[in-house]
Amino acid sequence: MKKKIIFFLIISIIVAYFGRVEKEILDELEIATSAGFDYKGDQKVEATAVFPRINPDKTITNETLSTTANLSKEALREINQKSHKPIENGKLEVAVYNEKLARHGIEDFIDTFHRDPSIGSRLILAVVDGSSKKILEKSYGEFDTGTYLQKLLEHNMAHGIIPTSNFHLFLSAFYARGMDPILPLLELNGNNINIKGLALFKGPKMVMELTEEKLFTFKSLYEELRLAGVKLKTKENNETEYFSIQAINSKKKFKITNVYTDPEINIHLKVTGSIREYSGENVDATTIKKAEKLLKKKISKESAEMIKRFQKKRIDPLGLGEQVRSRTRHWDEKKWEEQYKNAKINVKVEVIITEIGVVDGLS
Amino acid sequence: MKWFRKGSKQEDLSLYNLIQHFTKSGDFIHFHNPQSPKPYWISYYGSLVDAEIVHRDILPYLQDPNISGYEDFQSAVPIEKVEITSDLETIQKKMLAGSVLIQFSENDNKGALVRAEMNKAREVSIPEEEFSVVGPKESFVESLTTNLNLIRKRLPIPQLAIREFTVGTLSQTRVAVLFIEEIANEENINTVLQRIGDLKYHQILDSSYIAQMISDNENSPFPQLIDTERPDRVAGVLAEGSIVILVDGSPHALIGPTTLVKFFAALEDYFINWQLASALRVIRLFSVSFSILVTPVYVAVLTYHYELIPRDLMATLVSSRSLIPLPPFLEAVILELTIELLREAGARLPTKVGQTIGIVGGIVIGTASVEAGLTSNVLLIIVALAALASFTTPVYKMGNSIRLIRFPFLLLAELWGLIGIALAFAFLMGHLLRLTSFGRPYMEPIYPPRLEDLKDAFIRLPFKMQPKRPIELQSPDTIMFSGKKAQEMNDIDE
Amino acid sequence: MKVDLKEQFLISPSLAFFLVHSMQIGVGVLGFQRYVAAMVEQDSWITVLIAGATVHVIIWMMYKMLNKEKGDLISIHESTFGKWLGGALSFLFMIYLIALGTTVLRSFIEVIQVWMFPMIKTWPIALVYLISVYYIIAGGFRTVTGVCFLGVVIPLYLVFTFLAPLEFSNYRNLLPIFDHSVKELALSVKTMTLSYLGFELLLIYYPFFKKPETSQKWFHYGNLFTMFLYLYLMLITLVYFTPDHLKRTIWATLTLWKIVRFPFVERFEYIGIASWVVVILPNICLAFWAASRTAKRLFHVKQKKALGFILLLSVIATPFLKDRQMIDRLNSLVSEFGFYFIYGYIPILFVCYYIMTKVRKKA
Repeated sequence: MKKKIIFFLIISIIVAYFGRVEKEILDELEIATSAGFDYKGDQKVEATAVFPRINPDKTITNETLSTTANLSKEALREINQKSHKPIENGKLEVAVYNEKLARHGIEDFIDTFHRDPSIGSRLILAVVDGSSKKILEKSYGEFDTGTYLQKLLEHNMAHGIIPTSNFHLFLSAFYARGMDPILPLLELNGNNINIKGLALFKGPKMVMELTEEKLFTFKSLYEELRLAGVKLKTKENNETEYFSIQAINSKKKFKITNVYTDPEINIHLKVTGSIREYSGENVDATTIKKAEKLLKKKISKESAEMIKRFQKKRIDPLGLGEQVRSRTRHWDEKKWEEQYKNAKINVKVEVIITEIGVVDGLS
Repeated sequence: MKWFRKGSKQEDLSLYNLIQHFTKSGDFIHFHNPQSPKPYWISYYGSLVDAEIVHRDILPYLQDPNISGYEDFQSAVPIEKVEITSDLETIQKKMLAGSVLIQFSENDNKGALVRAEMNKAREVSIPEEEFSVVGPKESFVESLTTNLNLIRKRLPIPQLAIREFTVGTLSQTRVAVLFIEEIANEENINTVLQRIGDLKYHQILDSSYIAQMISDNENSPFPQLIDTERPDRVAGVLAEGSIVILVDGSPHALIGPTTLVKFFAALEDYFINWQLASALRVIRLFSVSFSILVTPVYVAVLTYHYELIPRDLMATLVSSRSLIPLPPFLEAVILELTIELLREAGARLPTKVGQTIGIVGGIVIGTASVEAGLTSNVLLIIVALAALASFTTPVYKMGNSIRLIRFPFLLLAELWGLIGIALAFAFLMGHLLRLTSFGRPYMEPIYPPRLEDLKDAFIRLPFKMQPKRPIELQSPDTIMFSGKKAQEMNDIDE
Repeated sequence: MKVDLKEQFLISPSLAFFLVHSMQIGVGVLGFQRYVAAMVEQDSWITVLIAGATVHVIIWMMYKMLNKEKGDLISIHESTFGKWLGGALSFLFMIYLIALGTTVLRSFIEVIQVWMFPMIKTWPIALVYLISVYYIIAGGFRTVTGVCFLGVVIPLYLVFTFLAPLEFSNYRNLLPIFDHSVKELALSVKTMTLSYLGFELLLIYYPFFKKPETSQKWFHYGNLFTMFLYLYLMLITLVYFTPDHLKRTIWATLTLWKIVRFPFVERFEYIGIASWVVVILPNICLAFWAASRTAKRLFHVKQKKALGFILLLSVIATPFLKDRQMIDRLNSLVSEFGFYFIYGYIPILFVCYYIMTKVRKKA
């Protein structure tokens, strides 16, 4: 018994001494919620880290530190030198890159994040038109910028027009054959952050931009719409009328013919929605028909245009290649890339307005 | 001249010498009455004997002129058994248990022993540790006879067997082992009888002495025998096939073999309907795991794994901790110790003062230490809740074990965060798996997995679904009751 | 030769289910997907099924031999090959068991080092872990089985957490089915069988069952359960990762957890790793128990002493395996040995044993 106790004590002391691990005590860290990277000439990046300073009275102040360095990881280390507490990136919510950097390629930055086990898969990446430093340095309301950006983007993905995107989905698209990644594009507008549109990538490089008006169409083709709103304008009898329509859901079906020779892709898109606002006098059966027609026209026109542009730039953000791949045995990626440029892609749209709100305007 | 001891030389001893020796004690009464028709010597311990019995039932018969010898006296006295003996050992033992010795000559080597012990026992009162709102409200007292009476009343069957032992070289404590023949497992009975028979100790003050000495693993922080103050619980487990140990002078009965989950079953669970009882048990088990794990997890997460904290919670945690100079581990240890201190102080003080201490300590110290910036208010809530949760265990001793094993978890959490907690858990798991209670596995019915016994473990299913005795107890008579289904499943409106 | 054991040390045959399952599920589960997917990509789930089926055949063979012998591997060896050659083969098996236990422990510590504590030394954690292993094994086979049981039941809740990644998965990743050659499939089956290793320990603990013949059913069920678990994990992994993404992910299972988010906890992989301490406990306990049991049977030494020696050896060995390459090499070495032992040696032994018993009967 005595021997056992002595053995136990010695083991505990040895283990406690040699087994020590570096501590990361919550309140002794600067926990970055957002990081921004700006292109600063050849091989140079300016990195900005945002971390909330949580005061004892529970208010949050937005603090930023930035530094210029070569690689992203190195930049973060150099920021550490400027901070009085170690900066940790385990709670990074949003990472933004400025457009110049995105056009130059963000492969290295993605790789660093991918390699780091402390980066979560729900990290949201975004591209900024202008300087990411400027966006991050501003404070918005009661939150720090990282939280604010994350909340802004997440809710717009859930019930808005931004296609769902996070670090995992980016990587999936990045590594997928027959698909190219997309990221939301933001801009600073006065004191607010604006969703400018979508940055479309070819591999690690941004090659194209899609404006905000087209996001409704894009999202309907990219995934399912959930409560996304769209505004329609029509001129009738010299009177401009506005519709505001909220998509309740959307469904798409792919039909691909001639997979092995010359694939022709037919997309059947069905959007169900409701009228939220109408500037005209009465909502009746004809108005509904009108709205349906208008929306159908808008989506058909935009999607055809959009896909043409994609084909021209040889990018495939909609994952059409993926659709073809999953229907082909021994799919050849090279061959598809050749075919894609001139592939026939048709979008057939069907719009159904089911609800008109709680006011019955039918008469 | 020495006291009578086993093995001492018989020749030196005579009854006269023994009595002379007893008279050295201030409370020993030894007097001669030469006036009575037949002169007699009477001797007894005044502190052990009920004077009323002596005056009412013994002395008047000694005055009777018809009595001429011990046999006459024996038949005259209206007391169940008057023993005439010359065995010194018996005489000493009986007199020390409250018998009166009557001699008709001081030099006689024999005498008549009349039982006249004083029975000053506490009245049977309401259970305090295992109080339940519904159900019987009797609890054991210090007197073994009363306790046996409380049990026999509930089990009026001849099969209820009681084996008595005397344990303790100095205390001479009566220990009774109770079981129901043909229901309790033979092997279990033998284990208990043998372990109690082998006990060597000078003094047994309470049943917990026995519990510690006969339990399978003395080095375990977990109690391996349930102690209860409720006769109804005892009757209940006897009928299941358990063995019960009662100790004179102790208001707690010991129940074994037992399992870990039984420590979380309150007797009240059987008095309320099964859905409610099951819900309460689940709550209890949850609160126990909460109590063990919550402070270590707090320390682990705040020291090593900030990534785990959801963002919205982060602000609360950081702001509560931002002014605190201590690392989370020390903060937690200090608070845990404070709570233990309050509990200990409350337990040692008289009830009324104890309550005040609890309130003063809890509120004043808690609030003040948060305001002074010594502890964070989040941790204060956590520690207080954990302490509260540990009190939900129906068996008091288990609650203590729960509070104790929290500290190794805390240490390992400080060392290796969540990995440390998992390692502590691995140790705990191994320990519990190795534990036995009277040779039966402690973790049953979890391991070995026994579905039949799980019906009354984490949840309690209705009585009619449990017609069998627990497999754990290995009863030779496995069926508890058999009866046809009272209600057949009927169709609607039939 | 019959191996006789006292009734009180025997376990119920139904526990065979947990013994086999807990031994098969180990550190390998954290990252088995990419090795299989490297060859057959979206068809990996078929591989899982085929490999599981082959294991059933081997189990049947082992039971055939053991039922006849009513003993363990050591007695089979002795009656087939005689005392010296048989003993040498049993000794080799013992070395394999020690290496197996050590590899599992070292690989798990590597996971801790990569994901949680880069600074932690190998030996203190190995020491503490093996002390708990010693404590458990010292309780006898019943306690070891108990750990196997709880090591399966307690972490079972983790199964549900794998449903979270489905939010971001693409079911088309599974298509087209059967898009790989038979050769590729066969090679991947070989890789996959390594994940099923661990059931061969039956050869040692067989005599510990009450009515051992009846345990075969449960043993098969256990393997079936492992198969379903692998299938479940594989399917989720395949729909969540695109093949090229998966090939770059060393610990796919852990990466799956990165997406889990509860209101009270984020980044589930840390909890997953901590839970894995309990999951691999049966692995290590059973391996070292079997090794020390073999030592006892071979050299007639006290099992406690043999166990102490083996564990000491393991504690000393772990720090010498320094980096990813070495661990990987040891891992493949041990699993190669296991593979050839099971698919090469056991069928040979099966035939030899039957010939020898026939010869003996005639003689």
